[in-house]
Amino acid sequence: MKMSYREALRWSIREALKNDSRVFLVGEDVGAYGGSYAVSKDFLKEFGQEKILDAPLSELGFTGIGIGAALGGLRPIIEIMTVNFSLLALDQIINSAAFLCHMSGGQFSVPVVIRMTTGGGRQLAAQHSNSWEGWLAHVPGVKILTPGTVIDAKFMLQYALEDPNPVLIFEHALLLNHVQEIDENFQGTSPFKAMVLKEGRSLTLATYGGMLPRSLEAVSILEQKGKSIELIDLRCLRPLDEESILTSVKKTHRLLIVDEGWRSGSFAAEISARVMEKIFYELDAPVQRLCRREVPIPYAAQLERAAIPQTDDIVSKIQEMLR
Amino acid sequence: MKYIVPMPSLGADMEEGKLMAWKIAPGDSVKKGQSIAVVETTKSAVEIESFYDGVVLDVLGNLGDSIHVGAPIASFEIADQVIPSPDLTKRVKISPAARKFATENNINFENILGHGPEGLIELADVEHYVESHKPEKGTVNIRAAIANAMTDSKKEIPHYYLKHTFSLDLVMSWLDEKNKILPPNERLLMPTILLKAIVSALKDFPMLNGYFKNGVYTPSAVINVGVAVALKSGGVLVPAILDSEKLSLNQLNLSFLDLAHRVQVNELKNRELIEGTFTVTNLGDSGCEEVFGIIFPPQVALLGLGFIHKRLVMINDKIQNSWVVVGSLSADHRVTDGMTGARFLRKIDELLQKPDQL
Repeated sequence: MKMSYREALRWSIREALKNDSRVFLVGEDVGAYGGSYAVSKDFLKEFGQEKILDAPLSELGFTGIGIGAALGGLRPIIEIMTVNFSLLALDQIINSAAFLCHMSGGQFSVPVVIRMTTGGGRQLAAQHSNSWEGWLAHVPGVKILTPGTVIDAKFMLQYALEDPNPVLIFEHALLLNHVQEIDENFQGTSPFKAMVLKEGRSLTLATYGGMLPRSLEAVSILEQKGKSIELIDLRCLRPLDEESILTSVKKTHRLLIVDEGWRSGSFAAEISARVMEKIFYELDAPVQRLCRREVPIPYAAQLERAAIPQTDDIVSKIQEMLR
Repeated sequence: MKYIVPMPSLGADMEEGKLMAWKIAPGDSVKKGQSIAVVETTKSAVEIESFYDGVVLDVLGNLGDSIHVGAPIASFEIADQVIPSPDLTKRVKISPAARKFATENNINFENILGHGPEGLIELADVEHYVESHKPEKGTVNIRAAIANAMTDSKKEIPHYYLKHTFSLDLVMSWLDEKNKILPPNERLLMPTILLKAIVSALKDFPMLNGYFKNGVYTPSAVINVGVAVALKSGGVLVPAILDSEKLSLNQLNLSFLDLAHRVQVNELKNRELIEGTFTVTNLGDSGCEEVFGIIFPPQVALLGLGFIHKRLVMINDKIQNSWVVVGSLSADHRVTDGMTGARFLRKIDELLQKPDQL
C-alpha cells in the first residue's frame, strides 16, 4: 500500500493513543488547530482534552510538564513545533530528561518522547531552518532518532515509547508529503540500528533523515553511470550503530557522509573521526563530508538551495571521490 | 660549516665501537669516501669512511676508547649545504588501505604507479600490480618455494631438537689477537669461526650431512654447508659454500663474505642453491637467543645460532662472566637419534675450545 510520511506519523501517534492509556500528546496547536503540520488533525475530537493538550507558547514549560508526567508514570508525547524552538526547552531536555536517571543514581528514569520537525528547504529563513539533531546527539542520556523513510515514520514512535529513557524524534519537514509503497504486514524493526538501503562496492554514502531521498536519487543516477554505491541510512544518531558503518567501509574503502548540519563540529565529523580511529588502514581515500554551508540559512530560494546539499552536489562529490 | 662525525652503526646490534686507529689528523683535507678511522666492533674491525669532502678540525676520542653509536668522534669543516636535507616531496603517497595491502603481500610499493590525485597509490593500483606481477610458470617465486619446502618438511620430517651453549671466551681472545695483525679486509669474522667449527665437526658425523630421498638416506661425500641469508627484498635463501671441508679458515672467511654479497646482488650459481648438504642459520644479528629451525629437505639436519652474549656461568665452582652462544640442532629422527645429535654438538664445543687448531 502507499502511505505518506505524514500519514505514517499520524498512524503511529493514533495507535499509541488508542493502545496505551498512559500516552497523551502535548504541544503548541496540537489540539484545536490539528498540529502545525496537520499530523494530529481531529485527534482532539477523537481522544478528548485529557489526551490532547494544547500548550501555551512556552517550550520550557510544557516540556517540563511532560517530563513531570513521565516521572509520574505516564507516557507523554511532547511535540515541539519545530527544532528551532527546542532551544527554548534545552534546559528541560538536557538537565532534566537526559540527566535525571544519572543524577538520581538510577532511581528515576524519564520515559518521555519528544518529537520535533527539523531541517531547512522551505524558505523559512535562518530562524526556522535549523538541524539541531547532530548537536543534541552530543548529549549522553538521550536517544536521537531520525526517520528518513515512511516505514520509520510509522514504527519508530512505538519503540521510542517502549524505551525507559528520553527519546528525541526528528521528523524532517520536507519529507511530510513523501509517499512510499510499504508492506502492510511489516511490523517494524529496531530503530537503533543503521540500515543498508542499497548495497554497493565502490563507496559508502552514510546519511539520515531529510538527506536520505536525495542521496538515494544520487545513488541511482550514479548507478546508471556504472558506479556502485552503498547507501547507509543511519536512522539513529545516538546510540550510533558504528559497526554497520565500519563493516561497509571495510568493503568499499571510501566514505562520504551527507549531513544537513553545519560542517564544523558536525555529526559527520564524529563519524569521520570514528572511522579514522577504528579502521584507518581500510581507507583508500580521505573521508569526505557534505554538509550545509557555514551560514545561517538564507531566505532567498536560490541561496537556500545553494546552502543545503542537493542531489547534484552529492553526485558530483561522489564523482570527484571516484574520478 | 662545522660537521660532527658520529660513530657509525655497523650492524643492528652494534652499541659501541672501539677506536683502533686514526687515518686522519687535524688540518688534513678529507675526500668523500676516504678512510678516516678503524673501528672495532664485537664482530670485526672496520674502516669507516667520510661522507663528505672537507678539512679535519679535530679528532675527539682517544685510541682504545669505546664510543657509543651516534656519539661524536671527529669534527670537520665542510662546504655549506653539503648535507642533503630529507626531500619531503619524494615521500611516496599511498592510501592506508593500499599500504596495508602492499605490506601484507610483501610488495615494495615505491615502484608502483599511482593513479589517484597527485599520483596517490590507491588500493586498485596495488591490486593491479600484484595481478600483473604474478610469477609466470617456470620462474621461481621465493615465497612460494619457501612455503612448499617448509610445509613438506614439517609434514614429513620427525624433527628432534637439542640445544647446547657454546663457551666462546677462548675464541674471543684468540680472535682479538689474530685480528690485531691482520689487515682490516682480511680480519676474521666470528660467524666464520663458528662455521669452521661446525664444518670440522660434521666430518665425523656423516649421518647428519646428506640427503634423505624416497625413504633412503645417503650421506654426502662433501660438505656443502648452506648458510641461510635473509634477502633485503624479503624471503630467505640458503646458498651453500661448496666443498667447505677443504677450505682453510681464511678461505672460508672469504667464501662467506663473497657469498653474502652475491646473494644480495642475485649472482648465485645454481649449484650453490641446490647442492647444500647441511644448513646453518645464524639469527644472532637480530638478537634472538636461540633458534628452533625447520630442516631444509632433503637435508637431514640444521644448526641454529643465537646472538653472542655475555652470561654468568659457573666454571670450576666460580661464577664467571663468559661469552657464549646457544647452538640448537634440528635433526631428522628417521636418520639419527638424539645421542648422535648430542655428540655432534659436544664436538663443536670441543673444537671451539681450541681455536688455534681450527
